[in-house]
Amino acid sequence: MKRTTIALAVAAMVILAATQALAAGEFAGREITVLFMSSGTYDASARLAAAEFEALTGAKVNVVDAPWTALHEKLGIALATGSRDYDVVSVEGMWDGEMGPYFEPLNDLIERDGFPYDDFIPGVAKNAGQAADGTIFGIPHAADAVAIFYRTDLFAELGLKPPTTYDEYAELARILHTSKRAGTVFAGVREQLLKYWITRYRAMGGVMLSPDWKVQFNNEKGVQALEQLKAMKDYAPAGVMSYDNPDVAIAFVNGDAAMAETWPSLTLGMASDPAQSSVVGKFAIAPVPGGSGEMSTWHLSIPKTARNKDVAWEFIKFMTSTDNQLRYQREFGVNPTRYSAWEILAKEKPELAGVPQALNTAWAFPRIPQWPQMYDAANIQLSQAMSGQISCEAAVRSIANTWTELINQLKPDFAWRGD
Amino acid sequence: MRRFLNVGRAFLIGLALLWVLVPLAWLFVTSIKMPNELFQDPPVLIPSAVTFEHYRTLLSSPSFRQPAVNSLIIASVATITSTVLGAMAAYSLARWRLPWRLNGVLAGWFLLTRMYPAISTAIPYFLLMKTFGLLDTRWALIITYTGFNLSFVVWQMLGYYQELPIDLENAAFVDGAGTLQTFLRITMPLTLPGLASTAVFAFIMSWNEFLFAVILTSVGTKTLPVSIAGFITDKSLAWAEMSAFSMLTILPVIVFALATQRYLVRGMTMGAVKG
Amino acid sequence: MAVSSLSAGTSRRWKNRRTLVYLLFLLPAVLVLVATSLYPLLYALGVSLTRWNLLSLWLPRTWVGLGNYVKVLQDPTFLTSLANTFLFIVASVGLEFLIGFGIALLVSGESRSLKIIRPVLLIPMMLPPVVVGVLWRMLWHTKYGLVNYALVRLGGTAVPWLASATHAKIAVVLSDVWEWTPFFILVLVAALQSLPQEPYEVAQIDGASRWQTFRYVTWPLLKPMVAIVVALRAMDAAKVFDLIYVLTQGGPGLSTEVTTLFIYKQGLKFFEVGYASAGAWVYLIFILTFSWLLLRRRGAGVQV
Repeated sequence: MKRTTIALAVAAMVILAATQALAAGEFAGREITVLFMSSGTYDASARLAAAEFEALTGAKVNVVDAPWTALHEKLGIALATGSRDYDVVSVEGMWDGEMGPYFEPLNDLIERDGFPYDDFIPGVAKNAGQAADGTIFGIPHAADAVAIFYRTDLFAELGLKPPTTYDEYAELARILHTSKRAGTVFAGVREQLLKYWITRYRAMGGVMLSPDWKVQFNNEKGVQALEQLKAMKDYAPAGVMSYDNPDVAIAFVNGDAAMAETWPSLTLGMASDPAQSSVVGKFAIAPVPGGSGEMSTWHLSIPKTARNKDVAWEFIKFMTSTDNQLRYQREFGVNPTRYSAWEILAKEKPELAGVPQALNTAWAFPRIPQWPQMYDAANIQLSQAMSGQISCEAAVRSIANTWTELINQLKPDFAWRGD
Repeated sequence: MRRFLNVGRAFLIGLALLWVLVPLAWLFVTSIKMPNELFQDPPVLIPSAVTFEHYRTLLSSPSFRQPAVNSLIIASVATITSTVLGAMAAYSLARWRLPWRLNGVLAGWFLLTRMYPAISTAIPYFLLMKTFGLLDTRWALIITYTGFNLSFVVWQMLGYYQELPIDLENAAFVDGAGTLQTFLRITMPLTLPGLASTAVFAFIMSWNEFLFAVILTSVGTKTLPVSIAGFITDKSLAWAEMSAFSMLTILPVIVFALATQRYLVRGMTMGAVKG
Repeated sequence: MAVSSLSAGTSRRWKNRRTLVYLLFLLPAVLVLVATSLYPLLYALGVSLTRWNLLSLWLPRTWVGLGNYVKVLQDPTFLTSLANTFLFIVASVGLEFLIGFGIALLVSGESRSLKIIRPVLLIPMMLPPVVVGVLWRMLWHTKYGLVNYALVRLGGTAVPWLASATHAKIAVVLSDVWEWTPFFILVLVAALQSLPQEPYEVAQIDGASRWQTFRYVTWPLLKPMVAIVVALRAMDAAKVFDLIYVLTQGGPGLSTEVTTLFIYKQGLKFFEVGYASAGAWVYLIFILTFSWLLLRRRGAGVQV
């Protein structure tokens, strides 16, 4: 009797151990390649996820990264040429119009595994990996909304409060601007201008496009918004028109600007790091005047031509789990995209409590195939207006014309949300 | 008066040297600066502390070694093929009188390929390589660079072969050597210095090339220049690491170039100037 | 063209064998040339007659004949890029020639120290243009760059180099000048050293001053070579891409947008390969015409 019990117990233990080993080495010998943006944050989170995923499942994960512009080109080329190089790609929502059809629909997988897709902030999910017909082709893993960084010490000193309108913002920039330190800083480089203009236009109550895709900003408000942005040059560092996001972050953390209008996820990490920042503990983040900034979202997708879709899906689920999303926020400052993560985070860092709401109400650019061309054309005009080569009216008019032309090339079959 | 002119001359030459060397020195200094001294206004000229950290990391990291290996293989193979094919073609054009003044036409065609802007073939290259499944293979760039280098090699060697006294080859021929043998036994050894320097220049051109490298390569096969351009990242200006990467990339080029620059004038000017 | 055929062994049998060898020597290179230049160019011509977006395949792919050409020749961005390229070529090559010539005159002697100095001066042109680009991107930085630091130290004011439309153009030209002036130094030194001695001896006997010697002896002898070298450098300058890609990506506005960048963006950023190919062909014709005019005016000198 005793012997049988022992035998059974041993057998049970062996079986238990064997099943554990199976789960642990589930994908041993498999290898996937994932593509992320180089930013010190998203790619860093990918590398962390890769290491842990490998430890857990035995699958080797190669992380490839590229800077924003190059990422778009790389991804575009890979998809256009039917490349089998990548199994998981991190895609900016802005490119969904162009690239969406190239990704594997995930609806069935979500249902099969009971993946809690509803936990993801709807405002974010709608603009990242979701097609107008309800096909889900991406799981959001990071989201950010432009915000205003400001120096709490300087504000306290001068008795100032964070701005609620862009006019107040301009006034603050003027007051804070000294010969040694700029009032504010923003990314004036061509590729980054559009959001600043549209945000100001919207803050005035303007609407970008009508539901049937007609341009709505070719008017006084549109021109005024551009003039407002142009005026900011006077209170920004001298080289601001060549500043890209990293330059903005550096200017703020070095104390060279009293405010910064930029992406928290690209600046927060640096600003809180004593080794790099001279403003640790002396800054706070406020929402942009007018309420909602532009949203940048990144979603994980599986190209239809990927070789290891099963491992890819497991990696996506792993990386977007609540625990991991919290991890990446704590380590790198990457904003989670799930309510369950934010519930915990809001208690830990009350200063970020307003973020999920901001993300849910932030606005995003149209996800149509012609978007990259519209984006580039608009930026060229804006940049020329900002450097005084053409008038603001001419710029706005030209953008309106180009957008109309491009939209008419292939009218989307779904209505624009009307903002 | 003469002494004054000499001093003036030395001064100007000194300025020219500074003009060349100061930026290079800056590149090196940046590569060894500590992070807190990188972004300073006014810039730190002489760092208070240096670190060779970046060099250590890069030399042991696949992010440098992989592209370095790719660059090495691609440049080497492309150099060998373009030098061999180009020298052979040049010899033929120098010795063989073709009908309808084809010698001039062909030489002119080689010249033309140097003249037109490379971007004109960039898009079709991309489409063709995609069709043949050669995207993201080293062969794509090897074929491309062989084509690029041919015109330089042909024009360089053409001059050498044209100037070689024909009597030596005639003598060998009379002694019973065939055309190929003559070429290998007589012509080649005599023009070896020219050939060697041509090969070096072809290597440098292939090593430095960017446009086609960025178009035709991807994850596995990217070359050093592509990696360097990738440093204009979105989060932090990784100046120190970028500078270290650049220093490592240009080191072989500088060494080779210094050794052979004298001989390269002929090919670079399509024979207009004899080096 | 100077063809020095072997005079020995001219019997029919030898002639045929020799011809065969020469043919085999020539053929591979010609085949490579056809495959890597003729074929792609013709393929591009074909593509340029269609409207083809490589990525967004749901945008219809249609035959448009010369439609792309008409469109690109009216595209303000394309036309601006042509103007920018032309300006860039004239400014950089002009400066490179003048400075390079000056330096060449200074360093063309035979002394031991000069023989060491000359190779050092040539380093910039051997560097990958991408490295030159990232290096100068750091140097031109408004706040943390060396150029503004030097300017301020010398009593001037800091300039927003890559941030202002006009200054960006200057910065780009000067970066190219730093890189390619050595080309002119190398070539002109060789040219100066290859000049015959007699005219100089005659000039000295006639008691000519240094300036007169230069104007009436050196310069006329150099002119044919100079013409070709300038033309060659101009054609190379037309290909500029790496430098601009890394320094400014064409901004601010369109101030440094050159045609190579325009074509690249159309083809590999927007994936409009038909339109990009048309632009590429227009540019090709533009450059070849420009080169032909340059080389033709200055006459012979090429050993063809």
